[in-house]
Amino acid sequence: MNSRRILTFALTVLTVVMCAALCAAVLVQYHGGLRAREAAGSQLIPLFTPEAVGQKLLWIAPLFGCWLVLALIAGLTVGAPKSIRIPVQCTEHFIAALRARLTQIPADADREASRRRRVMLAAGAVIAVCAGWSGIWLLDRRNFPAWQETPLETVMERLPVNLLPALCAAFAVLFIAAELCHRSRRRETDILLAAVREQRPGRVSLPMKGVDEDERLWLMRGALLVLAVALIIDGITNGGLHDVFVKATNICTECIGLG
Amino acid sequence: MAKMKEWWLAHRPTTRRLVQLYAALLQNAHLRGFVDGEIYKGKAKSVCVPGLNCYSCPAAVGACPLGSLQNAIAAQAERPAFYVVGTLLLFGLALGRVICGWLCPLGLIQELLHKVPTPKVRKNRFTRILSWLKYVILAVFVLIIPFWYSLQRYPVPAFCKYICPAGTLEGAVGLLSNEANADLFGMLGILFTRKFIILALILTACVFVYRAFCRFLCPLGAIYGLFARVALLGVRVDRLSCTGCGACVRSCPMDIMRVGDHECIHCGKCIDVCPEKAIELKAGRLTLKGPQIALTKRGENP
Repeated sequence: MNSRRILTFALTVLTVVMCAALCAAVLVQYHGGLRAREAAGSQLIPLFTPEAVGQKLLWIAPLFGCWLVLALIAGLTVGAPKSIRIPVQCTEHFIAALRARLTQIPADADREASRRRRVMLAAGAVIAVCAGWSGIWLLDRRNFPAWQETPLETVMERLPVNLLPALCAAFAVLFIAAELCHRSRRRETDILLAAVREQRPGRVSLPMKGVDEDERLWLMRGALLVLAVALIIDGITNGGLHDVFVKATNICTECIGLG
Repeated sequence: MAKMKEWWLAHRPTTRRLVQLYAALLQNAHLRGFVDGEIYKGKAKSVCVPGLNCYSCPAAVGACPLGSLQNAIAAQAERPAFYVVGTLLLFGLALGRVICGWLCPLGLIQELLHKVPTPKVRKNRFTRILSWLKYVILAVFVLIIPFWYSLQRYPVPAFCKYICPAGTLEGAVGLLSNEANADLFGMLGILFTRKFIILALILTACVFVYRAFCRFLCPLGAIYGLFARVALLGVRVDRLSCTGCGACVRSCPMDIMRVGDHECIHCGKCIDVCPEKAIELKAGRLTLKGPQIALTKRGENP
């Protein structure tokens, strides 16, 4: 590896670690202050004042500056890697195209396809359960009580506790199913390619079915365009435009995370 | 001189990069805002820009479509969110995810960060699955939470408030960096700390993973992705010339299954990669960019 690349990488990691340490220090300070306030019943000392931020940034700013300069120089002279490779290309449409070339499909290939269907069905069922659970929770109005009674922060803290397990489970199942299906597709591709080569030796070139843009697509575009224009005109007349203007011309401190 | 020319040829900005820079500048044309520390308050602010660009950024001259959508949902008890929905529909129909690849300022920042020469995480099956996360974020943070609180007439732009890195970077940091806004420091607390950590995580991830925010988290990209089939502008594959070799998918840094699907940002990298010259950037039936080598070859051997 190029020395500049190594140096940039090391400095990037160092900058990230320093930033993480800074964030952790702020969080510890916040929670310490919170406990102190609870104990003494006094006002919380502000975490961020121009002086406090200046002090916090004092020891990280030079490092960040160095990283920025080095990254710029390295970016201009070294350049990022240009090619991104993934190991094997074996998508469903490639398999479908291979199957279309064969007069008789090998039994092993059919077995792989049915195995894949079973895996996807099982994964789909688990994901549907997870999505159903999350959907029921999200659509239950009692989980979003009146903000005067339950602070928004409490609701937002409750949200990941209730949704994350289902979300993680769904994605974990999806990962496992994708891995199993990928392996199965590779096996099926190998079987089909061997069968195709047996029937027609030489390079496998697979023209796919021609799916040209048809008139229906243009009709759909036209209908959507009319709908969009109608919605915009209606929005302008019902005051939607003014709402956007008012919101955009006033600093929304909540939106930008100031508080 | 020859070395310099060689360097320039290797590093000169592409047409897409120039368009990205120009679009970022156009959407943030009120540069004086950084000096004054105030946001732009002209009439143009009532128009949504196509990309994710915080309207509280001192330089922003338009409204963020995602922030506007959340606020329109929050105000739906008073009036339906027709204007913002219509604008998003128009953008999606005309440009689709071309906006992500060519016009989004946050996309440009992510791509520049990815140029920092460090080891990169390549796309794989897992990143492809993770790309569905943005639809969950769209449903929960952009639609459901603002909707529930709109019934109580309490506006909660949940994505802006808890996740949006554009708001923290362009809005909060942009405003706080000016001395005129020193009083805003008093407002900062745990919410800002959390959002700043999210911003730091996303920017760090972008150094190692190509367009990490776009691919896994951006709800605006998820919305535009829904228009993949109908969008007027985008890369199109000539199905009759395509041999299914997969060179386009392999060369693409996004999590696409095929060129032009809901993950494709229509950057056009695949156009020159295709050995059959079957890919073109088209606006309807008009070709905007075709394979250059094919044209030369055609010129040589008519």
